[in-house]
Amino acid sequence: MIRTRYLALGIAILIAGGIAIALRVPRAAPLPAPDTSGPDYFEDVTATTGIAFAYRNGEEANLTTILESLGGGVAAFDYDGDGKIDLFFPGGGSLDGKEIRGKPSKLFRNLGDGKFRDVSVETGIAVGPSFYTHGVAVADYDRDGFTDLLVTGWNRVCLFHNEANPTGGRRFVDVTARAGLNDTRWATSAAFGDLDGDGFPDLYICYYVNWSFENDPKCTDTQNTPDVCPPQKFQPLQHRLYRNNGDGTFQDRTIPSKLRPDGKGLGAVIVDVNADGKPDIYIANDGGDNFLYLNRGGFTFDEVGKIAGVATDDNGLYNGSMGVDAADYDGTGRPALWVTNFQGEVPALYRNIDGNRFQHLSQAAGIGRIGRPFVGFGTSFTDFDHDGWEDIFIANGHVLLRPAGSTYRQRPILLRNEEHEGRRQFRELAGKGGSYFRSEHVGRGLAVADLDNDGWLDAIITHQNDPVIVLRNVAPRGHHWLKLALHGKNHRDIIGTTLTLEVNGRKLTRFVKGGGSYLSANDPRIDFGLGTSDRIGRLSIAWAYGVVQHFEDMNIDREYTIHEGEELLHH
Amino acid sequence: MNAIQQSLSERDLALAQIQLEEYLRNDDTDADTHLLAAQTARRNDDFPTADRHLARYRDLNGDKESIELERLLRRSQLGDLNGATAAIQFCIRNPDNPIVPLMLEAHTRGYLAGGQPKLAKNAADVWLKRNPTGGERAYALFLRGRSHEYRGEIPDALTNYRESLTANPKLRECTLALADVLVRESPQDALPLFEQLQASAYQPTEVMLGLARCYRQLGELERAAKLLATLETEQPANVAVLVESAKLALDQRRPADAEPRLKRAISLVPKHRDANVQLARCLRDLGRDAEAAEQLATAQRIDDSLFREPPPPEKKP
Repeated sequence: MIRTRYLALGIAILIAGGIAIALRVPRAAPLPAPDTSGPDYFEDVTATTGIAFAYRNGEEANLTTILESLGGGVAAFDYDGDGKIDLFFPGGGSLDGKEIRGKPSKLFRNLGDGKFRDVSVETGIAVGPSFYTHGVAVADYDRDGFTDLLVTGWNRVCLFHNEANPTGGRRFVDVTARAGLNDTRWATSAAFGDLDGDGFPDLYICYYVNWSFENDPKCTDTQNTPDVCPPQKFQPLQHRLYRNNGDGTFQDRTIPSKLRPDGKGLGAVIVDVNADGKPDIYIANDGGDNFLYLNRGGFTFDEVGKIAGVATDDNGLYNGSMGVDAADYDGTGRPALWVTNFQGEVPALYRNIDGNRFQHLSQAAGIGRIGRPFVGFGTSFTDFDHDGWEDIFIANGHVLLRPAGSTYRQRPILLRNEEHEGRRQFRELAGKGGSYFRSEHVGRGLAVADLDNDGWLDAIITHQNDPVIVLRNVAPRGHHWLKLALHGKNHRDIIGTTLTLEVNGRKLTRFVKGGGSYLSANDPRIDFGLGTSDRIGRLSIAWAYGVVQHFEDMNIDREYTIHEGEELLHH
Repeated sequence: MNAIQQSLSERDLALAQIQLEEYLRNDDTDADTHLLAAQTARRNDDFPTADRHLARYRDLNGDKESIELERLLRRSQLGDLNGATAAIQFCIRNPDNPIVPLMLEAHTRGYLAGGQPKLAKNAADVWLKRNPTGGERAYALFLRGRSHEYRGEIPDALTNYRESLTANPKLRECTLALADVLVRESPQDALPLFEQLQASAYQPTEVMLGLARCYRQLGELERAAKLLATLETEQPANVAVLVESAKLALDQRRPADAEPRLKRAISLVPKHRDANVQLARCLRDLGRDAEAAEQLATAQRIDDSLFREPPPPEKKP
């Protein structure tokens, strides 16, 4: 959500080089209406799911604080181990005078017939600590076989331990203080991943800016109407990196890990970018360099964003970055990094050259075609048509109520991965995405998940003060797929694992990631689109900190559960 | 003479110059028309022709005050703004004086050339308060848009550019300005503007370069490459062309082809920010990390100096 500096530098460039390259140039005209032709890929099934929930940001107080701009995320995870993906939503909060209050978060249990049931009360989510919430990260932090929840928000985080409920089922118990996660600053996205190879997921938490009611400058738009202040009005907050001690507690390793102090963090993904078997950390910052921490082992890291080419855009300018993801979009076998950005900037696609160097290739990949009126938040690489190539989903929505040259509500975008001019490029499907994509929203969180276990990835999107939307994947069913549920030995964390599947002469590579998107968590299962191929070759799994395991004779259109070091289990 | 007035009202200065030359070939003793030709040439940045007609006007016993005023407007137009404040005050006090539009045009352009876009906007506002019509209004709006653009007030710039083109769709320098602004923000919208300019053969180098940028933004690298190959052949020392060609090569994953172009650009303009930034990218893509780090530091120093120093005088609008 960068504004001022970008303009200034744009002018400087214009003056110095005579080339209009970096100006934030909002459109004066309304956003162009999408093409409505072609089949739908997603159907809005919210009304039939039983999920009726809206994140609240406190806008009714008319205070236009920066706190209200971030919104909330969504976590797609199986909390009760029944094989069906459940959904958790942070509730946000309200502003009452100078008091910041929390709204209840919600947990919806997947009943398996397209229906969900609100289980917030019986699982203890409803009686957890009340604070103004934003994000959620998931991991089995204590390796007991059940996924736990970390919820972020203003001036605290909350770690919910997933444990057996004496009255049956599961419940979530606040163990934040016991775990040592006591930082009382403004936390946004977070990501788990085993960074030192001890099997326990460690934790990176992004912190944003030093806003408070005591530091609450008043900002206006060009018509002198109050509006949200840009992040440049505030100082960044030091992010935190916690080492999981393996005993239910975490140790703050921020200083010895040499984390940079200058990021206004909004997005985090943990993935092995250089194929050394150790997961690395990539952070999207709002109005500053993005960070890439390469994992050097022994819980040491080198921040190499600038020299690796993933700190700034192709003009050497930092962006206002929000959402992140990583995937092999072009068949190199290496994860490219993907970042959604502010209005006037293009979403950044960083092609992975060799694991240590990246190229900003948004234009070459056709991303520039969508223009720059959008403010992108939640995002995901998703092969939603199962053609074997990772597509992209972006949830858009402005932070300014009356943005110059753009609109508060914006349409979401589906980008299909296609070949043009002999290379992989992305083309917007426009109206082909379905009715949701033909309307404008104030999108924030996004998670992809196979909610109905039909093998096709669905999507859940959160909005500012508007209801959550659940989209069922109804893409044409001409393609095949393979789904994998991976489990590390003794419930160890497997973030950083890389999978390669041989299909019809191609090698498809997928990555087990921590974090990603924006304030959200995706279905942890691995999804391979197989195109029209009805045969699968060898699957290789390079387990993080482990050995490479090979599997043969798998069938198409099936989900497999794979336990590290064990034979296949057929569902 | 009607045709000349028509061209001037549409601010087709190149055509007006041709028509004036033709008119004066038949009557070289018309002093007033020589003065008009001098003004028109000066407004079209054709200063040798302006000098020739002004000298002839003097030889024909033209009014000395008019000669002096024309020289003053030329200096103002080029950014020498001594007396500009008094001139603007004169325009405010004498809005109906026929010389006022010429004075406001020259001073608005001068403020832009002198790196003072805020004063340029003020001058354009004085101009627009006179409720000019047709081509004059279009040009005033165009210059107002320029002043907004130079101040980073892009939505306002776009609004003024679009209003200007509504008043005079033939104002091609405004079409080019609008296209240049849109090329990154909305390349799909910029493309037809560039194609329109290309069809009218207006400023072929700038338009071809803009089209190439547009194609690159759209991911159509092969089409961009064809245009840039032509431009590079025609203008091997054009820094903007060299840098754009290098960016294209980087997008095409041919960093080895980008490097010599960027080094050539930097040899021509050592502190060219974009060339230095792209060279850092290029060296990184080539795997020469130490050189890339050094080049990044150089680019950072240029960035720092751009923020530290006041902007240099701007190119003419």
